[in-house]
Amino acid sequence: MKKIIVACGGGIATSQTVAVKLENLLKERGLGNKASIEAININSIPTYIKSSDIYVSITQEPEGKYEIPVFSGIPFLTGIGAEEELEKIIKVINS
Amino acid sequence: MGYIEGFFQGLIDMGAPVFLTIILTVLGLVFRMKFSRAFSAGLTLGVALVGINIVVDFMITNVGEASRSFVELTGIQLGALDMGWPPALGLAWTWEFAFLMFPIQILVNILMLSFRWTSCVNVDMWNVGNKVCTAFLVAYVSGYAWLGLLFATLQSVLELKNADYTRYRLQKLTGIPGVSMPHPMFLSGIWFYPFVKIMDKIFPSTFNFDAQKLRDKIGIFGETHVMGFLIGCLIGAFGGYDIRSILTLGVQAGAALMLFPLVAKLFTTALTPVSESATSFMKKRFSNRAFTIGLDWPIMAGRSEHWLIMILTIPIILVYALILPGNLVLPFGGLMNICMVVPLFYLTMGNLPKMAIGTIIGIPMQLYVASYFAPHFTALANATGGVEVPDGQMLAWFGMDISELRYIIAEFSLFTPIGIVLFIITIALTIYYFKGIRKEDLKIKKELGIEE
Repeated sequence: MKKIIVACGGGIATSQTVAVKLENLLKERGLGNKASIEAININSIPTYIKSSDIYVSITQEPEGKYEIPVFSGIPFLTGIGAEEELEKIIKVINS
Repeated sequence: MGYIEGFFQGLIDMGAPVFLTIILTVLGLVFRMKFSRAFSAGLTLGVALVGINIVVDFMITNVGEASRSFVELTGIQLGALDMGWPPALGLAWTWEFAFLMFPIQILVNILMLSFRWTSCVNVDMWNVGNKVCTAFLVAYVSGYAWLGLLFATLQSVLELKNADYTRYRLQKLTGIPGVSMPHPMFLSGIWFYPFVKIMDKIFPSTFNFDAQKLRDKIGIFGETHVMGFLIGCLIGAFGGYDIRSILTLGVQAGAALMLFPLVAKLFTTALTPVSESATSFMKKRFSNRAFTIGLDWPIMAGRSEHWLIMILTIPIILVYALILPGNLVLPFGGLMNICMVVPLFYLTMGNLPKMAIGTIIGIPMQLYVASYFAPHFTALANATGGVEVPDGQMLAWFGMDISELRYIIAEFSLFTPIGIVLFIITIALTIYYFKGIRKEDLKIKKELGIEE
């Protein structure tokens, strides 16, 4: 079970939208029980990052800032490039 | 006609949690969702509403009681407890015509895309609640629901125009192409823009410093539970509590602020499927042309400037609240002043001194507007029956999006002299702002080397 966090300003709207969409996509591929997704407040990243495996960011993050793999959540909001990003996330989930 | 009205009244009379469950289920079916999914989404909305009520109730019981004791002890009349945006927008959904804002926002967007008045496809359904809020406030102040819906419709139009006119600014700030932000708070540019222009004249734009390091040091105060704990302790101390009760209140206040997002995110869970259907519907219709995807503001939230200024101005908000004559609001849930700081970030391109000065100038206005609308938020909470607000206590929302504009249109809807004057000034400022911001945007476009 991999833990995925998504962060935005309040952990309520944007991050939860990405979390819901990502969860549905993973369910469609039968990976629903291989990952848990949580939307959090961006100010709480330091608290959550240590216990998480994947960070899906909706902002541009500098490379190597975090110890865990970081992916972009923007494609899931816009619908453009969502497949590619999903494939990358699935690779980490299955690793 | 009477039959239909009776039917709707019957639905509304069942109370917001039941009513909204039914409405969202039907809306889902209209968008051709499977019944099971539509019902699940609808029920999630009802559950979210019940959840919000429980947490608001919890907040009134603990923090509210301490604040009343604080008022008694100090004589400072801060009878309106600020709940912040998650419960305030949640509460707005309980207004009886709230659900109409869904079709209105989607229809406005489709019409404007058809006439090529905008290139923004707004997929941000969370902020439908922000239009509901405008509509309900105007309706409660003026007594006319249609007037509220009219101003909310106008807000939708302006939001899309603003998204168009700032898209390259957004691209420059985030590095993300093809997106825009039809969020209402950026309409604060209408009144903030002239002030920013004046500040540009006074301070050179090179006068700035690195936000990241300082933010890393004080970031912990931006964590919801930590902030809630500190404010809770403060209110308890001023309320004359003993040390044990102070700390208990601190933890309870932390719990209230931590639980708000947990229940508020259920609104997102409920609305996302409908949002997806509406989005694919719009995209299919306009697939033959270039458009931007309209998103909520947090795509800029990675920048440290916002959080640094928000955290640093929290003590200033509290001091203002204590000393401003006529202020009724005890800031609590809305202390992270997103709707003031983020528009200033956007207008100044992240210039910290200008953001700080703008925020310090703007807070008193926000407190007075929050005091002005407090009776209406309280009335809504009482009317929908979910929350029992005790006598002598009011609910407020400090740091509301476009506080200044909502106050102006509310006063204008009453045709008060001040309302009429401010409304006319607002029209002039809107023209000035849109012209100016668009020109800046085209300049940024050139800078980025974008050609079409």
